[in-house]
Amino acid sequence: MMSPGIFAAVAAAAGRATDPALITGDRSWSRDELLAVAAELSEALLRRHAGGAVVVETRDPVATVLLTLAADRAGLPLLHRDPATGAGPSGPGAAVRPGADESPYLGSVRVADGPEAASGLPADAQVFFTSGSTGVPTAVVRSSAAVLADARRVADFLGYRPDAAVVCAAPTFHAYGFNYGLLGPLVSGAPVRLLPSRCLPSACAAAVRAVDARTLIALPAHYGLLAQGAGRQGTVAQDLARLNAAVSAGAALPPAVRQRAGGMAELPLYNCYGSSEAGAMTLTRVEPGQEAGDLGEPLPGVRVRLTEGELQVQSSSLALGRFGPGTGGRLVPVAGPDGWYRTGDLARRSVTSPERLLLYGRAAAVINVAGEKVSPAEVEQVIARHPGVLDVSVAAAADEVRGEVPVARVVLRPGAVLSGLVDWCRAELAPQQMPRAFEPVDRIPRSATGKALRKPPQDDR
Amino acid sequence: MAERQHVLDAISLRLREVIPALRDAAPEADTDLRDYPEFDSLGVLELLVWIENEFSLTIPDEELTVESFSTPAKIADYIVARG
Repeated sequence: MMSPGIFAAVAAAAGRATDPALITGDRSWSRDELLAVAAELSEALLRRHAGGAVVVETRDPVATVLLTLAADRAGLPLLHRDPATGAGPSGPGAAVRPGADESPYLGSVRVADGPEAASGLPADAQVFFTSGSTGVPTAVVRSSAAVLADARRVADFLGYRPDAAVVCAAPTFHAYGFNYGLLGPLVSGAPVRLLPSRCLPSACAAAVRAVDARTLIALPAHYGLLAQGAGRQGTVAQDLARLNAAVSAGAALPPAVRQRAGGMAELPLYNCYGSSEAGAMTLTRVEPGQEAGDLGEPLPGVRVRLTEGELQVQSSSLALGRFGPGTGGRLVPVAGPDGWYRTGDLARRSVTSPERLLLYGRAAAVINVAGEKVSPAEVEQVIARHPGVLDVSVAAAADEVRGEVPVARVVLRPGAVLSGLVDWCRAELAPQQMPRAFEPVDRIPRSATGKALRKPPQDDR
Repeated sequence: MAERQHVLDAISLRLREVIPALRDAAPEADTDLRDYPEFDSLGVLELLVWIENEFSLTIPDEELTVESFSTPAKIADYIVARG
């Protein structure tokens, strides 16, 4: 059997395969042990799944690792579902009951029965769910090559290696914890100590000390808790000051953390700017007094451009596409036809050091349609894919019942007709995303900075 | 070793500071703190960080759930047992 991707990459990692690779509160696993159990699990998955997608719903990082390796070895797509949000677009799916002679880790598996399962995911797909701007889970589909490229990019940047352990307190069912706190260490041969995501700073510090870690992968909330206790917890601060990098991602760092309250002056804090769709784009040291929007420079291999102020990226770790609200049950590419992924974030280049990117806002506000959040950028991306559309701008218009509704202004290609576009949008967009009015215009008015002026079209009803 | 009533009093005082609804009516030992939106999984951690500082102790358990700390009495018992 071919073993492409993740299983092979972990098997080929640096360092001794019999040394501890993955350490939890109750035991440690060597790479050899992980690969052996994963090989058994992959046979079990093949017996039970005639080619379907595998859904893993667990807080146990060991189950996540074993089933990721197993599904990869078996050539089955894997969906990592957040246990807190429960059923995603895939529906609950049938739970797998391990037989007496099978690994209990099979019990974390569900068989996907939703649109992702039916729509032909690539065999090497790794799918993560993100709430995105709409609040409804969107499934982001990445190839194992993209996941590995992302994990390796960050692991190389942070210097993961067999004698530089990692501690991960971020949940591993999300892309951040999975890629940089689990897969990155495993493919680099760096031992990783995994903590539950609801853990105290003292537990993080104890873990860092116990494995002599060089990197901590944690959430902004962990650093926020650290700042609250920093005044008195001298030993916690001392333990964490041994790190080369204390990494945060997912949300803004609390101001007290940015300013290094109390005993946090020595904490080597890094902020990771990234997304499930694009992977890590920048990873930058956070210094006291630094601007909150300072993203630093793009990571090696990440190309960026600013188009009308919007930050767009290309890299080997871009997702293939996503399922979710407005994708009509199909896999919609995350990158445009030109290969660039639109982050939806507005950024500018630093005057003093043009490689540094400074974030200053979102390209698109959210339209609140009777409580359903609609991202104008996402609607614009869908409409822009229509072959008859040259340019598009989506904005909010007042609606007496729903509060707000999306409306679109479009620049049509000569010969294209509006009715065709409207029918096409009905098929492609969720009901709340569907613009209530389409106004054909000769050009989209833009501000001096190039940003589309989101004035709604005249209501002609 | 922390004395239970002392721990319970300190917890009660702290909860009245951080949960506005308890400002005028102190929680009972068996008040279910899960009824207050401030006391979510992060709220528990904030309280435990405060306890570690206040009582100069380290809470070693990795699995910290809202259920284990759902009342002042449960929190105090935990602190006294491990303090």
